[in-house]
Amino acid sequence: MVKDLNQLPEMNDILDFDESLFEVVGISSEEDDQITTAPYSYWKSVWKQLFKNKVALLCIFIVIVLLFFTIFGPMMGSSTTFTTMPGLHGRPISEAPSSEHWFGTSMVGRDLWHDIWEGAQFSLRLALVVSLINVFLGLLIGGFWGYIRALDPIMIEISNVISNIPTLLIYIMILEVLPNSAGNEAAAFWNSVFIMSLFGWMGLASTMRNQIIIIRNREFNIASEALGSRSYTIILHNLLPNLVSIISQVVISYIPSCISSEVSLIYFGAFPITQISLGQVLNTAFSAKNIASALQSYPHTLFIPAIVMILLTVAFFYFGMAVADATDPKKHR
Amino acid sequence: MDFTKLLTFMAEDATDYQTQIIISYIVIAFLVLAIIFIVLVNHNLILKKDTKFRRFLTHPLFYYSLKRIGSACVSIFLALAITFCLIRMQDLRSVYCPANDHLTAEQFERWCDAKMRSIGLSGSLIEQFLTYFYNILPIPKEICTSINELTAECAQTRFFTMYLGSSARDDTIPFIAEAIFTKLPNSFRWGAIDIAIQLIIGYPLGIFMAKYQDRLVDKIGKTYIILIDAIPGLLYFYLIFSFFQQLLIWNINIFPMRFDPDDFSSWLAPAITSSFAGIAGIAYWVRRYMLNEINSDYVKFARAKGLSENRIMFTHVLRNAIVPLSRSLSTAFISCLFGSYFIEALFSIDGFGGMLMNAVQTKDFMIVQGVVVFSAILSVISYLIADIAMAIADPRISFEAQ
Repeated sequence: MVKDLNQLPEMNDILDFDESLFEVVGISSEEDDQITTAPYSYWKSVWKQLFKNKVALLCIFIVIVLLFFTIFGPMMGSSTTFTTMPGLHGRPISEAPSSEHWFGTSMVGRDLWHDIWEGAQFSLRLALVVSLINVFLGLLIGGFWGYIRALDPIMIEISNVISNIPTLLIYIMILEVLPNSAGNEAAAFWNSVFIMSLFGWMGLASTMRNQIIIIRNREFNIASEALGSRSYTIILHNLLPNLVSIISQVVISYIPSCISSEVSLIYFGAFPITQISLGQVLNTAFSAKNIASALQSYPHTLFIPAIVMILLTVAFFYFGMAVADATDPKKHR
Repeated sequence: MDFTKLLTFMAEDATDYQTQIIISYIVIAFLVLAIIFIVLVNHNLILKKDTKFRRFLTHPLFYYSLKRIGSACVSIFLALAITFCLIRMQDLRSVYCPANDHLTAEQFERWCDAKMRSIGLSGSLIEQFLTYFYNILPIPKEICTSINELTAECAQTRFFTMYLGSSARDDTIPFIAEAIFTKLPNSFRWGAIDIAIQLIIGYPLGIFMAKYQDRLVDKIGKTYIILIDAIPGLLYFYLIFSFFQQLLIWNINIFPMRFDPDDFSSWLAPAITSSFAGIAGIAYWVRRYMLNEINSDYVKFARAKGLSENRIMFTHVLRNAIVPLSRSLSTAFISCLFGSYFIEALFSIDGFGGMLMNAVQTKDFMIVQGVVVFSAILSVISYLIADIAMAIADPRISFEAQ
């Protein structure tokens, strides 16, 4: 070390460097202001993040498989004939899964394969329509709620009142009031759409409002406003990337929660018994008078619908969480 | 304590009723004056000198509680108005007056009128609403149920009497409030165990998940929470119920499935079934709150001072984790209340939730209305207690006057 120190050039030597080794480029004010980093693309990072999550990929796969069967399942070969007890005037009886009835038949002798996929079709259609309405209302109302400050105290009171009231009971009451849906499947469908989207937007609206208020008061947004950003820049570049994560989670988790409330509504008799839906299949399978005999002799009538329902809701729910994680810009680096 | 007496207190005689009325007027006048006084003081209109009394009245917690109680009252009133209107929107005459071939049209009308009047469904809508609302107010009052056009049966009640109407289907239930209160103890029995299980398992689970973040406990706990959140509540009630049934089929009798008000072990099965959702909810909030605290500056400082991990966890962080406890107690109560509609039907318990299911099936709207109003009041009050308890428990809310 000491040796090296002695070999250091004198201060004077710094001044007589070899000028031919350097080139004068002049002053560039543009490059002064720029900080160069690796190129960053929001959506590319989202995809990268999403594909890193193996469980989420599995969930997407499950969702796609289930969607395939809900669309094409009812057209497939499983026989739709009723199974009846030989003799006894055609009393219905359940049968175990076989090459004729792929999922077996239910306690009332119906083919489970058809019931489950047709039911899933109805349930998913309902969930999709309700989610779309709720998302639309939630974004619209939440946006106004977050932006217009005068609206805030009124909306807070409204949301307090709604969250204080036991909504399931209100749903039951509305069900009793709405035009009688017995035997009319379209009416039953729109009745439940109405009921589920009555208060359903509230969750999304209040998250929107909270997030908008938080982000508006962040330093980067205040700085951006001070530098004179236009309002569309603020919305598109400052607010939206921060909101996408939360919105996407709420939107995707609406689907399992709609299926959930459908199951409860059917328990209270929201639909005519002729309307096949996943909730209907479950509630008939697990009804108090069936459950003991089903467990002893026909466990498939319980577990096949239950497994389909669990796969569907959990896959959607986890997928929503994964998308929320991936779209969160804070987790990208 | 006899709950049934509390809500259906009848006045002993006319003088008793008179004194009760006078007391109630005094109490109401006092409350109204006190509220006006407090609001005026808080807006700096009177009592401007800084005294201890003024400091108490302008205490943020005090004023916050007052406002919160006010909004709770509005909530209850709205829930009441909504249920009331929804029920009156349907054709109640066709529900309660089945066609009768033995009567002429005129006789049928008269009979139907009388029946509607005895249920309390006659008169204009506003008249009905005001009567219903007046009957619910917990003040001494005269409750009249008409027998025919001319005579009515009246009863004078004392303080804290809620009259929720009488059943439209079942003549043995003249007072719905009384019926609710005779059924509540059954719901209470398994509900209390349910809440206890939720807290005993949910709390430690949340703490351990936070302490061993991203380790095995945390992963198992997270999976459990996701499963409970995603799967429809009714489905896992069904699955757990069928699991218990399967145990019976295998001749394994852990607890009796038939609910018996006097047998403690029979309360366990519904309580366990119902507690799964609550455990997930409590664990989720405790974990989240603990993680926030663990990453906060004061914990880093305590660690830098060289305190042991256990000391930090149990004396510093846990003190703050009490805050969600005050909230989770009431949410546990609510989840138990709303789980009860399904649980009590599944386990055939003669309780509060089962009462609603029966009423919905027999279209006994007066009972439905009573149960809705009663649950609205219960849930509003428990949210109110939760909010105020949270404000008290949260160390970040200052107890000094502004």
